[in-house]
Amino acid sequence: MKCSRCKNKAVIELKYVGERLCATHFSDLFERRVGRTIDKAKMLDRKKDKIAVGVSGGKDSLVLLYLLKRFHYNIVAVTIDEGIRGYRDHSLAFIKKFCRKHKIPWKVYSLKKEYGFTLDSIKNKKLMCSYCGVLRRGMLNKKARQLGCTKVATGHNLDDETQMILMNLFRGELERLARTGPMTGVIEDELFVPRVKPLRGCSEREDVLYAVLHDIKYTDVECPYSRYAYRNIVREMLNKMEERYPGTKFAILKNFDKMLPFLRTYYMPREQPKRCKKCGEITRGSICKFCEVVEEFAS
Amino acid sequence: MRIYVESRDFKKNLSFGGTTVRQLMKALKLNSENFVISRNGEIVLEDEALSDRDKVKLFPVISGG
Repeated sequence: MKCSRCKNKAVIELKYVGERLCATHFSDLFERRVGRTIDKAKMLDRKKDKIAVGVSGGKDSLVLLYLLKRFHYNIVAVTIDEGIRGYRDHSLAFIKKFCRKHKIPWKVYSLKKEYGFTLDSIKNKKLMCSYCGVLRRGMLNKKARQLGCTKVATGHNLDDETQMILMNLFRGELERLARTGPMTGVIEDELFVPRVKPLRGCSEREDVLYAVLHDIKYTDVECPYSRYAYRNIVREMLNKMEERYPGTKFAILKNFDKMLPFLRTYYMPREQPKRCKKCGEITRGSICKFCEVVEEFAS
Repeated sequence: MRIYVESRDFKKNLSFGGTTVRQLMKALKLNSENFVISRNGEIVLEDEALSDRDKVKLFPVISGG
Protein backbone atom coordinates (compact mmCIF):
# COMPACT_ATOMS: atom_id res chain seq x y z
CA MET A 1 0.00 0.00 0.00
CA LYS A 2 1.29 3.43 -0.95
CA CYS A 3 1.39 6.65 1.03
CA SER A 4 -1.59 8.93 0.30
CA ARG A 5 0.81 11.84 -0.27
CA CYS A 6 3.64 10.23 -2.28
CA LYS A 7 4.63 6.95 -3.93
CA ASN A 8 6.52 5.52 -0.95
CA LYS A 9 5.34 2.57 1.08
CA ALA A 10 2.85 3.41 3.85
CA VAL A 11 3.81 2.63 7.48
CA ILE A 12 0.58 3.70 9.17
CA GLU A 13 -3.08 4.02 8.39
CA LEU A 14 -4.68 7.00 10.08
CA LYS A 15 -8.29 5.92 9.99
CA TYR A 16 -9.52 9.11 11.65
CA VAL A 17 -8.42 11.17 8.64
CA GLY A 18 -8.65 8.42 6.01
CA GLU A 19 -4.94 8.58 5.10
CA ARG A 20 -2.03 6.17 4.83
CA LEU A 21 1.38 7.73 5.35
CA CYS A 22 4.98 6.76 4.61
CA ALA A 23 7.73 7.17 7.25
CA THR A 24 8.70 10.67 6.06
CA HIS A 25 5.18 12.06 5.86
CA PHE A 26 4.19 10.45 9.15
CA SER A 27 7.22 11.91 10.98
CA ASP A 28 6.50 15.30 9.46
CA LEU A 29 2.86 15.17 10.56
CA PHE A 30 3.81 13.94 14.05
CA GLU A 31 6.39 16.68 14.63
CA ARG A 32 4.10 19.40 13.29
CA ARG A 33 1.31 18.21 15.55
CA VAL A 34 3.54 18.32 18.64
CA GLY A 35 4.75 21.80 17.61
CA ARG A 36 1.17 22.98 17.14
CA THR A 37 0.11 21.54 20.51
CA ILE A 38 2.95 23.46 22.20
CA ASP A 39 2.20 26.72 20.37
CA LYS A 40 -1.60 26.60 20.64
CA ALA A 41 -1.58 26.32 24.43
CA LYS A 42 1.52 28.57 24.74
CA MET A 43 3.11 25.73 26.71
CA LEU A 44 6.79 26.55 26.27
CA ASP A 45 9.02 29.51 25.49
CA ARG A 46 12.48 28.83 24.02
CA LYS A 47 13.95 32.01 25.51
CA LYS A 48 12.34 32.07 28.94
CA ASP A 49 11.70 28.47 29.96
CA LYS A 50 14.00 25.90 31.48
CA ILE A 51 12.09 22.64 31.20
CA ALA A 52 12.27 19.61 33.49
CA VAL A 53 11.18 16.66 31.35
CA GLY A 54 9.78 13.81 33.46
CA VAL A 55 11.38 10.69 32.01
CA SER A 56 10.39 7.11 32.82
CA GLY A 57 12.32 5.41 30.02
CA GLY A 58 9.16 4.40 28.16
CA LYS A 59 8.32 5.38 24.59
CA ASP A 60 6.33 8.53 25.43
CA SER A 61 8.83 10.25 27.68
CA LEU A 62 11.81 9.43 25.44
CA VAL A 63 9.99 10.61 22.31
CA LEU A 64 9.15 13.83 24.17
CA LEU A 65 12.76 14.29 25.26
CA TYR A 66 13.98 13.63 21.71
CA LEU A 67 11.56 16.18 20.21
CA LEU A 68 12.15 18.94 22.76
CA LYS A 69 15.88 18.58 22.15
CA ARG A 70 15.27 18.62 18.41
CA PHE A 71 13.07 21.74 18.79
CA HIS A 72 15.98 23.45 20.64
CA TYR A 73 14.33 23.91 24.04
CA ASN A 74 16.39 24.29 27.22
CA ILE A 75 15.78 20.90 28.86
CA VAL A 76 16.90 18.70 31.72
CA ALA A 77 15.69 15.09 32.04
CA VAL A 78 14.38 14.21 35.50
CA THR A 79 13.60 10.68 36.68
CA ILE A 80 11.89 9.75 39.91
CA ASP A 81 13.04 6.31 41.06
CA GLU A 82 10.13 4.94 43.10
CA GLY A 83 11.99 1.70 43.77
CA ILE A 84 9.99 -0.84 41.75
CA ARG A 85 12.33 -3.77 41.36
CA GLY A 86 12.58 -5.30 37.87
CA TYR A 87 10.90 -2.23 36.36
CA ARG A 88 12.53 1.03 37.36
CA ASP A 89 16.06 -0.40 37.59
CA HIS A 90 15.60 -1.74 34.05
CA SER A 91 14.36 1.60 32.67
CA LEU A 92 17.19 3.66 34.23
CA ALA A 93 19.67 1.94 31.91
CA PHE A 94 17.67 3.02 28.83
CA ILE A 95 17.46 6.64 30.00
CA LYS A 96 21.17 6.77 30.80
CA LYS A 97 22.09 5.54 27.30
CA PHE A 98 19.60 7.87 25.62
CA CYS A 99 20.71 10.99 27.50
CA ARG A 100 24.36 10.21 26.90
CA LYS A 101 23.77 9.68 23.16
CA HIS A 102 21.79 12.93 22.80
CA LYS A 103 23.88 14.96 25.27
CA ILE A 104 20.96 15.79 27.55
CA PRO A 105 21.59 16.50 31.26
CA TRP A 106 19.87 13.92 33.47
CA LYS A 107 18.99 13.88 37.16
CA VAL A 108 17.66 10.89 39.13
CA TYR A 109 15.96 11.23 42.51
CA SER A 110 15.23 8.20 44.64
CA LEU A 111 12.18 7.89 46.88
CA LYS A 112 14.17 5.53 49.11
CA LYS A 113 17.08 7.95 49.53
CA GLU A 114 14.87 10.98 50.15
CA TYR A 115 12.04 9.48 52.22
CA GLY A 116 13.28 6.05 53.33
CA PHE A 117 10.77 3.78 51.57
CA THR A 118 9.99 2.31 48.14
CA LEU A 119 6.72 1.60 46.36
CA ASP A 120 7.49 -2.12 46.62
CA SER A 121 7.18 -1.82 50.39
CA ILE A 122 3.55 -0.60 50.18
CA LYS A 123 1.14 -3.43 50.95
CA ASN A 124 -2.08 -2.02 49.45
CA LYS A 125 -1.44 -2.79 45.78
CA LYS A 126 -4.90 -1.67 44.61
CA LEU A 127 -4.18 1.97 45.47
CA MET A 128 -0.61 1.83 44.18
CA CYS A 129 -1.20 4.03 41.11
CA SER A 130 -2.79 6.77 43.26
CA TYR A 131 0.10 6.74 45.76
CA CYS A 132 2.66 6.64 42.97
CA GLY A 133 1.00 9.56 41.18
CA VAL A 134 1.00 11.74 44.30
CA LEU A 135 4.64 10.91 45.09
CA ARG A 136 5.95 11.35 41.56
CA ARG A 137 4.09 14.62 40.93
CA GLY A 138 5.19 16.00 44.29
CA MET A 139 8.85 15.06 43.87
CA LEU A 140 8.93 16.22 40.25
CA ASN A 141 7.54 19.64 41.24
CA LYS A 142 10.02 20.08 44.10
CA LYS A 143 13.03 18.91 42.13
CA ALA A 144 12.12 20.95 39.06
CA ARG A 145 11.92 24.06 41.23
CA GLN A 146 15.25 23.29 42.89
CA LEU A 147 16.81 22.91 39.44
CA GLY A 148 15.53 26.37 38.51
CA CYS A 149 13.03 25.01 35.99
CA THR A 150 10.00 27.07 34.99
CA LYS A 151 8.01 24.20 33.43
CA VAL A 152 7.62 20.46 33.86
CA ALA A 153 6.89 18.53 30.66
CA THR A 154 5.47 15.01 30.75
CA GLY A 155 4.91 12.45 28.01
CA HIS A 156 1.14 12.02 28.45
CA ASN A 157 -0.34 11.03 25.09
CA LEU A 158 -3.83 11.13 23.54
CA ASP A 159 -4.72 7.79 25.10
CA ASP A 160 -3.59 8.87 28.58
CA GLU A 161 -5.51 12.12 28.29
CA THR A 162 -8.79 10.66 27.06
CA GLN A 163 -8.61 7.90 29.68
CA MET A 164 -8.03 10.50 32.38
CA ILE A 165 -10.96 12.62 31.17
CA LEU A 166 -13.39 9.69 31.21
CA MET A 167 -12.09 8.34 34.53
CA ASN A 168 -12.72 11.69 36.20
CA LEU A 169 -16.15 11.98 34.58
CA PHE A 170 -17.11 8.45 35.68
CA ARG A 171 -15.99 9.20 39.22
CA GLY A 172 -17.68 12.61 39.32
CA GLU A 173 -14.35 14.36 39.90
CA LEU A 174 -15.09 17.54 37.96
CA GLU A 175 -13.01 19.75 40.23
CA ARG A 176 -10.01 17.51 39.63
CA LEU A 177 -10.73 17.63 35.89
CA ALA A 178 -10.62 21.44 36.03
CA ARG A 179 -6.98 21.20 37.17
CA THR A 180 -5.93 19.13 34.13
CA GLY A 181 -5.66 20.12 30.44
CA PRO A 182 -2.70 21.08 28.24
CA MET A 183 -1.23 23.25 31.00
CA THR A 184 -1.99 21.86 34.44
CA GLY A 185 -3.31 23.88 37.35
CA VAL A 186 -5.80 26.66 37.97
CA ILE A 187 -3.64 28.65 40.38
CA GLU A 188 -0.43 30.60 40.03
CA ASP A 189 1.98 30.20 42.90
CA GLU A 190 5.74 30.55 43.21
CA LEU A 191 5.98 27.00 44.56
CA PHE A 192 4.05 25.43 41.73
CA VAL A 193 5.87 24.63 38.48
CA PRO A 194 3.25 24.45 35.67
CA ARG A 195 3.06 21.06 33.96
CA VAL A 196 2.64 20.73 30.20
CA LYS A 197 1.85 17.78 27.94
CA PRO A 198 3.16 18.34 24.41
CA LEU A 199 2.25 14.81 23.22
CA ARG A 200 -1.41 14.98 24.19
CA GLY A 201 -2.46 15.12 20.53
CA CYS A 202 -0.52 11.97 19.58
CA SER A 203 -1.84 8.46 20.10
CA GLU A 204 0.07 5.68 21.84
CA ARG A 205 0.40 3.86 18.49
CA GLU A 206 1.86 6.98 16.86
CA ASP A 207 4.36 7.38 19.72
CA VAL A 208 5.56 3.78 19.30
CA LEU A 209 5.87 4.19 15.54
CA TYR A 210 7.77 7.47 15.86
CA ALA A 211 10.15 5.88 18.39
CA VAL A 212 10.82 2.86 16.15
CA LEU A 213 11.31 4.98 13.02
CA HIS A 214 13.77 7.29 14.81
CA ASP A 215 15.69 4.50 16.53
CA ILE A 216 14.66 5.66 20.00
CA LYS A 217 15.38 2.68 22.23
CA TYR A 218 12.85 2.53 25.06
CA THR A 219 11.87 0.04 27.70
CA ASP A 220 8.57 -1.75 27.18
CA VAL A 221 8.67 -3.58 30.49
CA GLU A 222 5.32 -3.04 32.14
CA CYS A 223 5.01 -1.67 35.65
CA PRO A 224 4.07 -4.73 37.77
CA TYR A 225 1.39 -2.70 39.52
CA SER A 226 -0.36 -1.39 36.40
CA ARG A 227 -2.66 -4.42 36.26
CA TYR A 228 -4.43 -3.13 39.36
CA ALA A 229 -5.37 0.13 37.66
CA TYR A 230 -8.99 1.20 36.99
CA ARG A 231 -7.48 2.87 33.93
CA ASN A 232 -7.18 -0.52 32.17
CA ILE A 233 -10.95 -0.94 32.01
CA VAL A 234 -11.42 2.56 30.60
CA ARG A 235 -8.57 1.98 28.11
CA GLU A 236 -10.17 -1.20 26.80
CA MET A 237 -13.52 0.51 26.37
CA LEU A 238 -12.01 3.51 24.60
CA ASN A 239 -9.95 1.34 22.25
CA LYS A 240 -13.08 -0.58 21.24
CA MET A 241 -14.86 2.71 20.54
CA GLU A 242 -11.92 4.02 18.52
CA GLU A 243 -11.72 0.83 16.45
CA ARG A 244 -15.42 1.06 15.62
CA TYR A 245 -15.68 4.84 15.37
CA PRO A 246 -12.26 6.25 14.36
CA GLY A 247 -11.72 9.75 15.71
CA THR A 248 -13.49 9.13 19.04
CA LYS A 249 -10.39 9.97 21.11
CA PHE A 250 -9.72 13.19 19.21
CA ALA A 251 -13.37 14.20 19.63
CA ILE A 252 -13.19 13.63 23.41
CA LEU A 253 -10.01 15.70 23.72
CA LYS A 254 -11.26 18.52 21.47
CA ASN A 255 -14.57 18.81 23.29
CA PHE A 256 -12.91 18.61 26.69
CA ASP A 257 -10.63 21.50 25.72
CA LYS A 258 -13.72 23.52 24.81
CA MET A 259 -15.29 22.79 28.21
CA LEU A 260 -12.12 23.42 30.22
CA PRO A 261 -12.36 27.24 30.51
CA PHE A 262 -15.88 26.88 31.97
CA LEU A 263 -14.76 24.22 34.44
CA ARG A 264 -11.81 26.37 35.52
CA THR A 265 -13.96 29.43 36.04
CA TYR A 266 -16.47 27.42 38.07
CA TYR A 267 -13.85 25.71 40.22
CA MET A 268 -11.46 28.66 40.59
CA PRO A 269 -10.39 28.56 44.27
CA ARG A 270 -11.84 31.47 46.22
CA GLU A 271 -9.04 31.39 48.78
CA GLN A 272 -5.31 31.70 48.30
CA PRO A 273 -3.59 28.29 48.42
CA LYS A 274 -2.35 27.34 51.90
CA ARG A 275 1.06 26.05 52.90
CA CYS A 276 1.47 22.49 54.18
CA LYS A 277 2.30 22.52 57.89
CA LYS A 278 4.90 19.78 57.40
CA CYS A 279 6.73 20.60 54.17
CA GLY A 280 5.61 24.12 53.27
CA GLU A 281 4.34 23.10 49.81
CA ILE A 282 0.96 24.17 48.40
CA THR A 283 -2.12 22.46 49.81
CA ARG A 284 -5.84 22.94 50.16
CA GLY A 285 -5.97 21.36 53.60
CA SER A 286 -3.50 21.76 56.42
CA ILE A 287 -1.24 18.88 55.30
CA CYS A 288 -0.57 18.12 51.62
CA LYS A 289 -1.35 14.75 50.00
CA PHE A 290 2.36 14.13 49.50
CA CYS A 291 3.08 14.39 53.23
CA GLU A 292 0.01 12.27 54.02
CA VAL A 293 1.36 9.45 51.83
CA VAL A 294 4.92 9.81 53.11
CA GLU A 295 3.69 9.78 56.72
CA GLU A 296 1.70 6.61 56.08
CA PHE A 297 4.59 4.63 54.60
CA ALA A 298 7.84 6.15 55.79
CA SER A 299 7.64 4.61 59.26
CA MET B 1 6.72 -21.21 5.20
CA ARG B 2 8.88 -20.60 8.31
CA ILE B 3 8.55 -17.24 10.04
CA TYR B 4 10.53 -15.95 13.01
CA VAL B 5 8.38 -13.80 15.30
CA GLU B 6 9.66 -11.71 18.20
CA SER B 7 7.72 -9.60 20.69
CA ARG B 8 8.05 -8.35 24.26
CA ASP B 9 6.75 -11.59 25.72
CA PHE B 10 7.96 -14.25 23.27
CA LYS B 11 10.33 -15.26 20.48
CA LYS B 12 9.46 -18.17 18.22
CA ASN B 13 10.01 -19.86 14.87
CA LEU B 14 6.74 -21.06 13.44
CA SER B 15 5.39 -22.93 10.46
CA PHE B 16 2.81 -20.73 8.87
CA GLY B 17 0.27 -21.59 6.14
CA GLY B 18 -0.86 -18.05 5.32
CA THR B 19 0.61 -15.34 3.11
CA THR B 20 0.07 -11.95 4.84
CA VAL B 21 0.84 -10.17 8.11
CA ARG B 22 -2.89 -10.08 8.85
CA GLN B 23 -3.09 -13.88 8.60
CA LEU B 24 0.00 -14.26 10.77
CA MET B 25 -1.54 -12.09 13.49
CA LYS B 26 -4.72 -14.13 13.29
CA ALA B 27 -2.70 -17.34 13.63
CA LEU B 28 -1.00 -15.87 16.71
CA LYS B 29 -4.43 -14.80 18.07
CA LEU B 30 -3.21 -11.23 18.40
CA ASN B 31 -5.05 -7.99 17.58
CA SER B 32 -3.05 -5.96 15.04
CA GLU B 33 -4.43 -2.76 16.57
CA ASN B 34 -2.26 -3.43 19.62
CA PHE B 35 1.06 -3.63 17.74
CA VAL B 36 3.33 -1.76 15.39
CA ILE B 37 4.75 -4.47 13.13
CA SER B 38 8.07 -4.70 11.30
CA ARG B 39 9.18 -7.27 8.72
CA ASN B 40 12.93 -7.69 8.24
CA GLY B 41 13.46 -4.33 9.96
CA GLU B 42 10.90 -2.35 7.93
CA ILE B 43 7.55 -1.17 9.31
CA VAL B 44 4.67 -2.83 7.46
CA LEU B 45 0.89 -2.72 7.41
CA GLU B 46 -1.35 -5.74 7.86
CA ASP B 47 -1.90 -6.37 4.17
CA GLU B 48 1.83 -6.86 3.51
CA ALA B 49 2.81 -10.26 2.05
CA LEU B 50 5.24 -12.51 3.93
CA SER B 51 7.98 -14.74 2.51
CA ASP B 52 9.73 -17.80 3.84
CA ARG B 53 12.24 -17.01 6.63
CA ASP B 54 10.98 -13.46 7.17
CA LYS B 55 11.70 -11.97 10.58
CA VAL B 56 8.69 -10.26 12.10
CA LYS B 57 8.95 -8.03 15.14
CA LEU B 58 5.93 -6.86 17.13
CA PHE B 59 6.14 -3.62 19.11
CA PRO B 60 3.32 -3.51 21.67
CA VAL B 61 1.37 -0.26 21.60
CA ILE B 62 -0.01 -0.51 25.11
CA SER B 63 2.41 -0.23 27.97
CA GLY B 64 1.62 0.17 31.61
CA GLY B 65 3.63 2.46 33.76
